[in-house]
Amino acid sequence: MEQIAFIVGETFLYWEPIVLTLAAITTIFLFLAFYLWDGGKGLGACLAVPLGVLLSMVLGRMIHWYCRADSYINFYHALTDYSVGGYALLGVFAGCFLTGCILRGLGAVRNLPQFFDSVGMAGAAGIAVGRLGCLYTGADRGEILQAVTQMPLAYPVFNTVTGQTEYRLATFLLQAMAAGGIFLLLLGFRLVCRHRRRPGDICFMFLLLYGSSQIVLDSTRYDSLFLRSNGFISIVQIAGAAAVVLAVVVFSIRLVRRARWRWWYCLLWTAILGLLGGVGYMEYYVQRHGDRALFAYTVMSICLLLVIVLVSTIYILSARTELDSPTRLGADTECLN
Amino acid sequence: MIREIGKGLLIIFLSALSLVVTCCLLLSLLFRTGATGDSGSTGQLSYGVLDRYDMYITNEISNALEGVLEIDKVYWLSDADPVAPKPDPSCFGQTQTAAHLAGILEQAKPLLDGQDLLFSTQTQTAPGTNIHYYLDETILAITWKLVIDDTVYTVSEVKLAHPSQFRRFLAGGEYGSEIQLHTTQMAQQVNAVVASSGDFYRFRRMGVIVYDGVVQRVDSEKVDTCYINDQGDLLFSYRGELADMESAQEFVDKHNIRFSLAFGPVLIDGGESKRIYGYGLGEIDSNYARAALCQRGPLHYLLVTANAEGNYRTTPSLHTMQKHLETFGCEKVYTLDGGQTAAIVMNGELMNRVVYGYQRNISDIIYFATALPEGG
Repeated sequence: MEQIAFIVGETFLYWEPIVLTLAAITTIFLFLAFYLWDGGKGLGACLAVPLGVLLSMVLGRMIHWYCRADSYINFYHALTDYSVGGYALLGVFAGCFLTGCILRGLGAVRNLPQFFDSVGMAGAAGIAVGRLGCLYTGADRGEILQAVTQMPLAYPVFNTVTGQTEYRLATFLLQAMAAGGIFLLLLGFRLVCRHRRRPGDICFMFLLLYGSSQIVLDSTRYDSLFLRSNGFISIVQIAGAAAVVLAVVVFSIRLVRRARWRWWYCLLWTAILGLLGGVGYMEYYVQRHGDRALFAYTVMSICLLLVIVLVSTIYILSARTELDSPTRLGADTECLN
Repeated sequence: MIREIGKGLLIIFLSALSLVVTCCLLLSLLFRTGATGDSGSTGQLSYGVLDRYDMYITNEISNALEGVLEIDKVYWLSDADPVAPKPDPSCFGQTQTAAHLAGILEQAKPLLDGQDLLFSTQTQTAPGTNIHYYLDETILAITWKLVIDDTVYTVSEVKLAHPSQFRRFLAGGEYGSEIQLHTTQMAQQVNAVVASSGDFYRFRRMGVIVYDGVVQRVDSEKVDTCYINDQGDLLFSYRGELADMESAQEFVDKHNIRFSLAFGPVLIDGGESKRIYGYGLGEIDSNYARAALCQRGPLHYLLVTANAEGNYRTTPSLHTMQKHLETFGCEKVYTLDGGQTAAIVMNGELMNRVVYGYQRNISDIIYFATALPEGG
């Protein structure tokens, strides 16, 4: 049940859209700050903001309609009547990606990886703020908790059917904290590794960290988004896994290109595959043995942490090899474009 | 110089335009209008205030004239009510011996109105299992387990006084809600005497979905649909019969349909078994836990699940379950979602052994409730 913030005449202002708008503003300002600081073009920044907001809203709505068609009368209704339904965060990612590609095509953005670095960092902060909108709704929660009634693990939800208050796992709060932590990590990475990183590294790190967090956290929700053809694994978990795999692939290709082939790279990749397989198995396990959720999610989290460590190792190895390479000097001048 | 000025002006113009467009977009995000309010409910059992008043007065007069004049009390529920009255805890009971229920069956005779139960004092239940029951003026529910061909069938037999006591609940309280819950959680929320997992409509987009008398979705190409009308009777439409929203709504209006279930297939219709040649859902040829909704007569139902339990390790194919259900003497039998979804709950307690020993989060249940107001 959404909480009303203000009533202005016949218009109801709910708290959740206010928080989402604040999150969008946070993202916009941080993006502008990071992008312009890195030497991005003003024209690109000007065009990116409205285009990014527009595409994010439309694509977020479309994906929500695809997964929750029963919440709308039809597709046209989903895109025109914003008093019902919601948005899928996945659509925001798609909107930002599309914005970058369009602006690159128009020549308004020269360094696309640098653009996505700024988007990734700003996005992490925006998500941390935006998730707090669920403080005022009943969405993005997990199972009922008997023993815990305090934040950050539990938060009360008003059951509209019984009129009673339930204390459920505050998944939204955990997601906000995770996104906030990822933002700080990326900020540190950005500041500390300024001379060692390439454009695009921050974006891939964001995908790795955020994708990993969502594989676990989205599994705990009681209102996940599913594909129409598959009601077992949420669309967010699938996208999260794809993001992790993408980061692994990109960093691995870079490592193999920069350094000579080493036989033990196969061990690293096998370990990563094995750990991701373990994550998949624990998701299967928790759906069948929900009473052992704590065990299952702990194992999932450990596996994903190890994946992050291994991928970071691959990244560090490739970055170190690059530092020692005589071509490194040229890379610095690329970043200044 | 001029070029620089022009460039500067262009940037200023674009910045201003960008700012205006962004503000408009953010305002559209911010200013969502309130919900339109009217859910458009056209439920056949939405009784008005005067009808409730009428029920109250009739029952009070019956109480006042008790011993002088016999006036039957009438209790019913409105589909508009999100929850049913709480059942009287003292009306629940359990025993391990069918013979101990002789008194209960005797007390239930007015409610049974001449109908025979599948359950009797001679019923052979699965060894070591309990028989759970509930009886008040408006509902009799008996749940027991029996073993057929190494499969444990959990059967919940229900006889109602009024069709409004056969209800459907969607997690979150509304159609299209994103929430999914356990069958026990939903049953407790709505004060069900006995409940079963439904068709898990959120999982798949097949069948004709009717809720509150309104057709919500039509995709009848691959599945049979079961409808519950205002008399509490089960009606069926078969694959491909209702192809669009208009014909479906026409069917719903003509037959006063309250809600539907979309899984299937229909196993028995009019007392005759249907031949099943392939079906889009439920892996009918494989061995899985199964669930079904059956009707034996007016306001007389069975909820059935088939599971592996204890020493009995076999789960049936659909054809095997159909063969077993033929012996239950039902007029109509409709398959519900099986596997880990299949669950029967009575008095908030899980009755069957669900697959993997843990309930799955699902989107809906069907349940039977008492119509007696709380406190009698």
